[in-house]
Amino acid sequence: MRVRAPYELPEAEQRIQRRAQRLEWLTFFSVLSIIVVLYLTMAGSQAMKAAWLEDILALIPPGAYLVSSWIRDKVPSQHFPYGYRRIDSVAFLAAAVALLTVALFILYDSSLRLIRQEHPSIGVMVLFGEPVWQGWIMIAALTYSAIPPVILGWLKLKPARELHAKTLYTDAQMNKADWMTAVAAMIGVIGIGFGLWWLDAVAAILIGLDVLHDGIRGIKQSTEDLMDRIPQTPERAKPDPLPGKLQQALQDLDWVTAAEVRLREEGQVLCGEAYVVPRSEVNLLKNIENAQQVIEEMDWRLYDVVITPVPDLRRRLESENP
Amino acid sequence: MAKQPDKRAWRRWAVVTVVLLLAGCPYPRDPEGTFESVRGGTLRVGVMDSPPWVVRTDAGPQGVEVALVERMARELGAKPRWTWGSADNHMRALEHYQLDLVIGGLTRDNPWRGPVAFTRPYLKVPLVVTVRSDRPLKSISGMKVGHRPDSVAAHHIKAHGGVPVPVADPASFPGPVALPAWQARRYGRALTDVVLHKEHHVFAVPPGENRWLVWAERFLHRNKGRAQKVLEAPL
Repeated sequence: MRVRAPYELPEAEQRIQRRAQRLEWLTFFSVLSIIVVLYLTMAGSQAMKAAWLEDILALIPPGAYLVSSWIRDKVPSQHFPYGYRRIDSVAFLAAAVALLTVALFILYDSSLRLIRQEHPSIGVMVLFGEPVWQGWIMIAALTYSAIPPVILGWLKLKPARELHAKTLYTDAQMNKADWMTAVAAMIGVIGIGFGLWWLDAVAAILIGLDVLHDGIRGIKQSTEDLMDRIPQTPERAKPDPLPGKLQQALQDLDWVTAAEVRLREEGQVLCGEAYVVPRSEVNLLKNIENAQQVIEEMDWRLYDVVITPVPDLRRRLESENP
Repeated sequence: MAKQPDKRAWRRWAVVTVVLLLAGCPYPRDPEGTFESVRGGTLRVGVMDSPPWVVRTDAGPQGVEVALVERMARELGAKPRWTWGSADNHMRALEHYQLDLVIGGLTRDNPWRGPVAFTRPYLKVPLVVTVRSDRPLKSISGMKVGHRPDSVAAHHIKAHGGVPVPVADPASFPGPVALPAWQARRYGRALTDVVLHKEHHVFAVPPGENRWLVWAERFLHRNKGRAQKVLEAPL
């Protein structure tokens, strides 16, 4: 089996990637601290339990990103001749499925409690010898839980866009929205304080729906990625302009009459085939080699585009049909 | 970037809502109004015979927890109404807001956690190995350890590697005996450093009645030393 050449990220992008990795480590540990704080103050609030579970889930995207970063850059081998670049989408899919599962659990658990009309009990916690209503402590813990993810999410957006890293981008979006989870849980606790026992379960259900939405969207995106859907930008999921650019650049070559390109995303990079119709067969091999050079220097995201000379751009299938 | 102004407006609304909500009640409310009905009214207490916490006598309930509840009632300007019954009956009544309080030697590790609420422990009673003379004892591994026939100490003795022996009169048993710490003096025995278990004693209250729960917990916190004193008072 012919093994792919290893992929090398250019220096500038490598620096951005290292920064992204540092931010993800920071995210991982700050979320861990939040999980501990929430666990210690959770008591009977359903909404806080949902927020706590969502934060446990919030460990998965940075964890997935860090693990896949390590695997992705391994040199292609005989066993994996295409390399390991797909691990990004796989990790993303795994994370999204985890989100979906926990979202369904939160929805089930909270709905059951709402239907059973369970009134949450929150008593006192003794702080420095003074009995204080635990609800206040829970609100303080939730406030803490909102701050690091929002800051880190905002910091991670730029590297995510520059690296076209979908996993990182989605993770950053989720982090930025964490303040909504914290506010929802706070409303739940305050509701309990006002005797509105049902507000807590409702807030938990809303948090569950939010996580469900993240999970479904993640599954859709990562599955599409793995099915070689047309390359899209991480933001508004618009078609990526790079394939079009490449096709135009190939057509502009003087020895090419027409060219078509078919690319797919493998994590951050684009791979695929380019079909070129040469004017003549003179110096064909040299021309193709030069064209490969053009591709390589065009954009760091282009990796392993195979150039195939064809007599014309009509699709073979049409002539094979009886 | 059309989304940015929307997000900022959202954030502002969320903060305003939270602040307005926080500006309300200083302490939590009772969805079923337990505290209000108890204060200046009747305190419906479910009691279970469990010496020394609750003791059934001809003159009504007595005991450590009864003394605490009578004090509670005085502070609330309420009249206690005692109902005898089993744990099952009382817990169900509590769950459906037919009772305000249930006492009777309840500990933190009980199976009623879900449907009913419990106060923080008001007293921690260690189950300690006691000896006749001041002989230092570091472990009971492989030793025969006595215990009152009606106590659950046997389980904890086994858990620490000892051999449980039911003993009718702890005062005269020559070997070590596992007893709740406060009973040591009564049987003329000395405490060792070997603690087999700690019982966390609690009161039970109706679920979700957080104003009542907070008041009860604050009361128990204020009267922390009282239960211990009553326990250790000479008979």
